[in-house]
Amino acid sequence: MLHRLIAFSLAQRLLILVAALGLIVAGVWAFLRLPIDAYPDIAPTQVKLILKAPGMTPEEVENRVVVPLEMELLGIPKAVMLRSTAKYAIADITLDFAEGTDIYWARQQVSERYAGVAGDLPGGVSGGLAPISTPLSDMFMFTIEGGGLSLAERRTLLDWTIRPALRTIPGVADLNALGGEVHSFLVTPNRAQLSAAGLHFRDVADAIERNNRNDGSGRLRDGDSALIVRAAGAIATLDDLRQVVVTVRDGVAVRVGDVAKVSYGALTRYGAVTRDGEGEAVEGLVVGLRGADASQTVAAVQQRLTELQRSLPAGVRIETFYDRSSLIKRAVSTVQDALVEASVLVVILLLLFLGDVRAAVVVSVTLPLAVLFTFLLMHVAGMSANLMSLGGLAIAIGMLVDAAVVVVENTVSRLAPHAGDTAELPKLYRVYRATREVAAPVTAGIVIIVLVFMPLLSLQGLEGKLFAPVAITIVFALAASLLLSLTVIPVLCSLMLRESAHRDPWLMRQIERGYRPMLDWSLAHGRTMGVLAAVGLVLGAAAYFHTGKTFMPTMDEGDMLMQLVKPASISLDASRDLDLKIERAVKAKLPEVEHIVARLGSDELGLDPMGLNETDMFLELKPRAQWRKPNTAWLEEQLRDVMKAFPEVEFGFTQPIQMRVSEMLTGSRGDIAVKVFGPDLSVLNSLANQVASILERTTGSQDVLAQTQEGMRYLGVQIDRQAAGRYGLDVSAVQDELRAQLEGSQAGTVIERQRRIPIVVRGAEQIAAAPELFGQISVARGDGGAVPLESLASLKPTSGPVQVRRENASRFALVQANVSGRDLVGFVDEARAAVERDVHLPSGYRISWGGQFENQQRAAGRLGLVVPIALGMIFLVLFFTFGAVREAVLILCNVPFALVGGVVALWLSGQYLSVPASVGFIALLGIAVLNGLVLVSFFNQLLATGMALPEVVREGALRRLRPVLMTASITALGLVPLLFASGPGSEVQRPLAVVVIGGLVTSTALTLLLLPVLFRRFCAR
Amino acid sequence: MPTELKRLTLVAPRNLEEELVTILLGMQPALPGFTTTPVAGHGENFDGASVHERVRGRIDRVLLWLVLPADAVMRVVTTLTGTLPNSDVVWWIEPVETMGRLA
Repeated sequence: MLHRLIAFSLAQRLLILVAALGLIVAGVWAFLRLPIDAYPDIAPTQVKLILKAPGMTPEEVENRVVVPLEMELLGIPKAVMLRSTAKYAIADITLDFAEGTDIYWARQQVSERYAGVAGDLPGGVSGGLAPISTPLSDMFMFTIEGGGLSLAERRTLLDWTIRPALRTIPGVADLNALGGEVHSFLVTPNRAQLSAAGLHFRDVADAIERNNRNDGSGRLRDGDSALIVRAAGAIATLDDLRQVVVTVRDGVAVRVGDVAKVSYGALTRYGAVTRDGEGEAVEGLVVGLRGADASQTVAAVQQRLTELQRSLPAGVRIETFYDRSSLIKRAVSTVQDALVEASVLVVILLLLFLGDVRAAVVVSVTLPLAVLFTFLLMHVAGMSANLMSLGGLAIAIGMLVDAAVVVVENTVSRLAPHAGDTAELPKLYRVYRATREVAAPVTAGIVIIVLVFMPLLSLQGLEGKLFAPVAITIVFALAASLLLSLTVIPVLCSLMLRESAHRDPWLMRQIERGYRPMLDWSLAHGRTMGVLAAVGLVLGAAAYFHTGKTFMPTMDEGDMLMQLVKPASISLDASRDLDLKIERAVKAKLPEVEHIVARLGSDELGLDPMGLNETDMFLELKPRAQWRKPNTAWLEEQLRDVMKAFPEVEFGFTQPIQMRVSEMLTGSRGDIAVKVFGPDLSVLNSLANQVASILERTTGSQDVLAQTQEGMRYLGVQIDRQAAGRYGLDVSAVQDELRAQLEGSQAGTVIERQRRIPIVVRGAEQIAAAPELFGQISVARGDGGAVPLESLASLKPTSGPVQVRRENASRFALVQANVSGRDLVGFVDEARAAVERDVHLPSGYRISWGGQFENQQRAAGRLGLVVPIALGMIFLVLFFTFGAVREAVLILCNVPFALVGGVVALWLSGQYLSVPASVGFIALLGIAVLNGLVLVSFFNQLLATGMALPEVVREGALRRLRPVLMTASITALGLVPLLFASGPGSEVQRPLAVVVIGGLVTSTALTLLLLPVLFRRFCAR
Repeated sequence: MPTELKRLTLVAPRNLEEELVTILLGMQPALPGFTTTPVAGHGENFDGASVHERVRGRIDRVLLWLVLPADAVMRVVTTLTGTLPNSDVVWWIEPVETMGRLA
């Protein structure tokens, strides 16, 4: 079949050339249409329910909101994990679905179950499904600065001018508004007057809600025309609000204005944003839709913001502090640079090895053609161009020309006329024959490389989502290169190569001169070679045990986030002031930091509901060239120094995407997440603290954080039922009153210039700021008059949980840590042993280890299963190619030696054995087999001519020296740019490059020196 | 007197076809045209045969016919023996009574 394809191509040269041109056009077209993002879509099918329960304590949220919902949600088909967190006033429930579940189907299921239970939830609970977002959704962040606007004005600008404008952009799911004050109509009842009138807060709120509506009444006939009757009654101004009658007492109307102060104010705040230590700010965060083209979306957002600029109040600026497109640009240019450098290196190498410009040109044509073909296939498969898929291409660049090198090399030799040869064999035939000779081994080799990448497609979870695009791109690129080598390349050979005497170039002559004696020596000392090989294997095994194992190197996104956790009971104002203080300290000490934007507490959409004591501090860094030392680890050290002045604050470092990825996948942040499961919060807390102290003692630990569940200060109000009953009050009436006093209750909205402004009824600020006054507030008695709260309930300071975390309906406490300066697996093994030894778990409690570590274990387990299967498949391909077990086994012998070089290189370079390194090993496996295949198939050809065996191995090895060396050195050199690249993504590609380059050295040496010996020994027929 | 013509028949393993053809085409002085055709070998030793050959019970062979002047025939055999010393290639020579073209 292969020879038919080659013959067809050579017979239809014009057709093939036109097809190649068409491919170029289609490839360029596809490339221009490929969505470009920094990372592949790594989000699992996940549905989030965010519910706001104003004023409720974490335990109330857990018992009254989370548990009923969990009961309903557990058992949804295809749901694999149910996580929930109950915090003060917020319930956050996350459902992970099995891989491949349709997100809309999953949301439908959750929505149906939620609707079923929504009626049973306490009144005042609001919220629902969070927008469909992924860890890559936070695309663009900005603050509103200048113009002398107040926080409320800035927030109004964001909510009512910018947000509607940006939400209409395709690809934008929503605009998350953070910080500032939400403008509202505030009704502050005077407690004494209210109680004197026998009214509760609820009465005021109800009266306002009843008296705030415009409506149509129908039509009136007026002669021949009709009048539409509009009954106006909506509140529009503060005065309207004051005039609302709450009740009538003794014939006198009690108006809102009589019992309450009415003013403009703000909704109760659950978070704040600060900037550069200068004060509060208002932040907008563009949330991208799942699957949206990030670079296009960001460009559209920027354009819309520029358009909006004109309509903003004078002096107001929109200051961007995070822009995904800059990461995308850097990530793509890292890979692009590597691609260009590799291509140049490959062409130089081709010239050196072939000594023939025309041949080098023919081979190098494969590069752009194969790359464009790959883009076309990526487009058809609906993939995006990102760090991983383009990285796959960069890795493959050296392998792309392998097939073409073998074909062209053989054609060059075949076209050289023999001395005195005048036989007029057509050139086309010679090219055909040269191509046909190598077609089978080349095809088998490429099929094998494709096969070895298949296991990567079986990876699950994060590693699967990250590395499947790598594998798919490589497979596409190699398949393209194979097809080109058997069609376009022979055509170009026939058109461009000359039938002239070919003389080996200088480089090849030198190499051959060195190789000949080495080959003779190894053929003469078969046993010694065997011993040497065995020593190599032992060395490799030793290096393997000395190499640390980890999941994946951290990718440098170029931005830094500092996560702060302050004492649990900190107030919003104190937390904000602390943030400002830290920002000032950082700005003062570190000139590398351009801007700092910190957000504490919860955002408006509830996508990231943090407590008041938690802050994400976003550091916008200057370009590295301006740093005193261009090193992220150094900068972290400097920040740690700054943070020494704030011992009450626990902190850790992460990056915007990294943070979202770890939150989404494990519900926690950090390399290691230890979860202690059990029913009692205080026991969980003490166990978590024990685990944390063990982690802290383990070498290599960093930023250990026990997310304590306990420790929040509470004021317990124990309502005396009898007393309440005596005053004509029931428990819920008292509770409602207290909540309205502190948290406030919403009483409808005012529509002002299309803006919906909430009306809030809330108690006086002084009481909320003084616990001693709180006990003295008076509550209207059911039978008239008022009674102080102290007479109805006992007030006692207590402590309680900060939050309650649950996983699959079981409570747990979380300890998280990062690992630095050592490998993850070694650290976990050590810490785990210490925990098992020192922490005694009561019955009903258990510990699970997760985080990045879990991914590594899963990836290692999966590869351990699938790689042997791939090896089996390679064996089958080899068997089909040679029709003999012996040759197939002989070529597979190459594999361990290739691995030796990879492991030793990894060990010497101080890299860890990670998933990308494993990908390197997989690639290596394929290349090693390809080399062996080229050599052994040639040995077989020579044997068939009747040549004696000793001659066969010697001649064969010498004649195949060039293609073997060329393919190996081109693949290796193609990866060299990745060794020295420094942009985002280079951390992932470096271990891979190290492994392949190291492995190629040993595997090529083996192919050239040991394989002839082994063939002579085992394959003599 | 017309030149005495002989037919040289070569039966070789199929994978040697290209090699044989190249050698014959490259011979000096050049040979006239010749014919190749795939044939099956029977009753042979199956030791080195592929699985397919074993299944079918016949061995893939290529048959070459060369009609040459008598003095050239042995030159071809000698050349081939030198370059392809393979015991799997069988040859024989037969006399050709006459030879010509139809037009």
